[in-house]
Amino acid sequence: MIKYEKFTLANGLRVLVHEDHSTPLACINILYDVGARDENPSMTGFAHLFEHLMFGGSINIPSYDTPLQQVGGENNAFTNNDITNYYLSLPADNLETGFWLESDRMLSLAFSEKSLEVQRNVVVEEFKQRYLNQPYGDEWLLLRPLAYKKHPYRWATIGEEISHIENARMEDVKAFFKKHYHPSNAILVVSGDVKTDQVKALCEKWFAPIPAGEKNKREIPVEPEQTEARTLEVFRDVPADSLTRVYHMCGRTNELYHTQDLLSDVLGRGSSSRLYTALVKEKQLFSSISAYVTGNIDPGLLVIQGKVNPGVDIHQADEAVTAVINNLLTQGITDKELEKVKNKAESTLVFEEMSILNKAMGLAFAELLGDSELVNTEIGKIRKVSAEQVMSQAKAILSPENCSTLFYRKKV
Amino acid sequence: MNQTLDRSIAPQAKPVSDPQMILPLSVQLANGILVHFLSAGSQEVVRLELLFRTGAVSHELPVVPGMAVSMLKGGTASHNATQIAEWVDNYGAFLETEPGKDYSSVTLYSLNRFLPQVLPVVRQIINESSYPEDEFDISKSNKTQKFLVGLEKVGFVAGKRFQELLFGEKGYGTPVNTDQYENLNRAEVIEFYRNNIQFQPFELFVSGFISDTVKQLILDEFGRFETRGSAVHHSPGNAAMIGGKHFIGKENAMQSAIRIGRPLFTRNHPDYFGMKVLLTILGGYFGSRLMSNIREDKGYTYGIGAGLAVMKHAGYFYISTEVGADVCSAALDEIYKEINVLHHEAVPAAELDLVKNYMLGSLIKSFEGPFEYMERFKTIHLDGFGEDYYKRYASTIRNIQADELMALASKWLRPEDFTQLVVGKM
Repeated sequence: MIKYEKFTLANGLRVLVHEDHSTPLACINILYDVGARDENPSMTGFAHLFEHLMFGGSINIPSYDTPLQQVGGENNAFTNNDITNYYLSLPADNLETGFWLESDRMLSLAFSEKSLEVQRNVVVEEFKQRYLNQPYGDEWLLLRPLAYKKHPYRWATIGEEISHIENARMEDVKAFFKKHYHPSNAILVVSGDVKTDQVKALCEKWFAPIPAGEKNKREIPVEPEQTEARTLEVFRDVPADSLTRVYHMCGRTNELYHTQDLLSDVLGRGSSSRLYTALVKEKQLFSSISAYVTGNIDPGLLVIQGKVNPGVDIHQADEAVTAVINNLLTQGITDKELEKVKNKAESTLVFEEMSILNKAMGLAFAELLGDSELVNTEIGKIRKVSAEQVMSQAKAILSPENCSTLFYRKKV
Repeated sequence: MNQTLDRSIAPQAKPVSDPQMILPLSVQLANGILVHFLSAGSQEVVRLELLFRTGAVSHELPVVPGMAVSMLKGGTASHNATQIAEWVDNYGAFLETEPGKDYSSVTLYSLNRFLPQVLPVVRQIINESSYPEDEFDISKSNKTQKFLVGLEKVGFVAGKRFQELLFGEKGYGTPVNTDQYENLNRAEVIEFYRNNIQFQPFELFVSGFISDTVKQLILDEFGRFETRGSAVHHSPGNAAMIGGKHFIGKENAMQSAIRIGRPLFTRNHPDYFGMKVLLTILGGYFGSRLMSNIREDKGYTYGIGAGLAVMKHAGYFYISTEVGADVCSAALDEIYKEINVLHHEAVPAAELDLVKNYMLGSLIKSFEGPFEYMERFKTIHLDGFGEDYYKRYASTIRNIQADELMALASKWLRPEDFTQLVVGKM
């Protein structure tokens, strides 16, 4: 059970506090309700570039990192298709320093040309290092537009192409800040060796004076139903073929989410899963294979991904995946199998709760989804899923018409 | 009563305190297994790590110990690999094998309530592994594939070659190549297992929420282990560093990997703590000299770092980064510039103060929860340090002066003593 208190400031900032006095540390997590899905299609990669810019100095404080390091703290951030999340941890004695820093950059950034110039280059390097210069690095740059034709999930968080980042201008940056970075678009969580009253007082001092800002109205095109199978075949300088199938599934808050998530676990989580046992161990068609869900807020994807063994034809390997799925559809799943994946899901959550940072992130995300109590009720929801429900979802989503397949092949 | 808030003034900061060590309870079993129990936190989970004093240095072909350890999940007389995976997965547990250079470990993570059912798998895999042939072939093929993929990454190739250069292609730097994976011999791996893992006494580090029931369960289970300890502990037999500047070309590389460094020392050297501070300044945190210059000012890279890597018998200084291929030479120039500055200019007081606070903050952050407490204990225990080790470290951090740091730089960071490697394009 994660115990916490919750309140909202007049300017719309939602605040949650989780006390944990077993550590001398505190964490501050600020989640902004903006992700790659909120970008303009001609200016992709912006939410992530902006995350970098948040470290370039705010209106009253020229450096974010230095004062934090000075008090023994450290920080990081990440962006994905749905959210941008900033977090720091520091000795609890110095909690106010974190409040000072985070509130100032919510108030306004310094917006320096030099910072934009440098971070553009850094992000371009990141694009190269993680997506272009690695074997299989561009797989998701290909899969996204294959699966999504209308929805903004069709481009990756890093950006659809390098040029969008290279062309980012200061006026676009300022407009982005105004639209997304304000109190009513943010969720603040404080965890660790803190007291709720103390946090309330700090919020009043540092965050309450920040003007409310206008809550962004999201108008995101709905992805139309996929009605026929899609495939794409590419050749790259890689040592082995890679096969990826993605199926459309529901969004994170849909009541079917956990059922579909458990389905992906039965199929391909770990080395006792169906896909692994049949295709890596028994048939030896793949050197590795797994299944997982993207966990997006809007309807996401169930992913099956594997590396094909040398000498095996990728299309034959693909048919073997179909065979495993068909097997599942005809045989059904056993209660023991379902129990197993539920135990794994529970175990993962329990281990995550050992960290005050993970607890803070979990609370922020749950609050974003509209129900902070999810941090405590999620296990119960998972336990309630029945084998019949899993099979029903298997039939509903694991169909060829719902599938996009990428054949990512070694150049001969 | 609204005083105008002056956002340009930082709140009053308090000094960072020293970490508080928690020591485990240690129990020596009759069969030679040494068990350490460290209970903390409230999550009802437990982590059991079995540590063997064997690793890559224990065989002339590092791939053999690697395979012997990673295939401990590959099957026993009574359970094949899938059945072992099924057994562990059924209870939401996690079983990991980690081959290392000097030590190797097998670690089990479990919810306490399932520990009685899942714990017996450990004794089976340690003492009854059979390395089934089909599993061996699959594993060998997978490792080869993984290695081949790695060879396509400039970072992987650089890290590997760098070790070889540092230790003269011997000991910790023994080269590994595709042939060795392709020629992995099952009989040889089994022999290694029989001589170094099977029936060998080991140390067991148990951390988590340890009730009396859990403790007794573990003592009983590990008391039943058969041991016939006779393993020989190996030192690596390193050779002299291969100095100079080295280049490995990679066609179409968009980034080049840079590795610069030299063998240095381990934790018991009097300059160890001081060098940790110096290297943090150089490249050990986001505001470091290298990060500020090469990432934040020039935008040449997504990340650059410097530090001290330590194994049981040797340690080394390193600088590591991947930079845009077109700016590789420029990045190298900047790296050497930054090192040169450390020789000639005292670190300014404000910067030194910041690094000290950052390091102290980092230090207490590394004491969160039972698993971390146990990791900190392992460090001092395996090298025979006293329990004041971290207090001594904190003390050096607090008290070291700029002139001492400059002296350390002049003594240990001389470019003529380095080896330099670039993989990609220059």
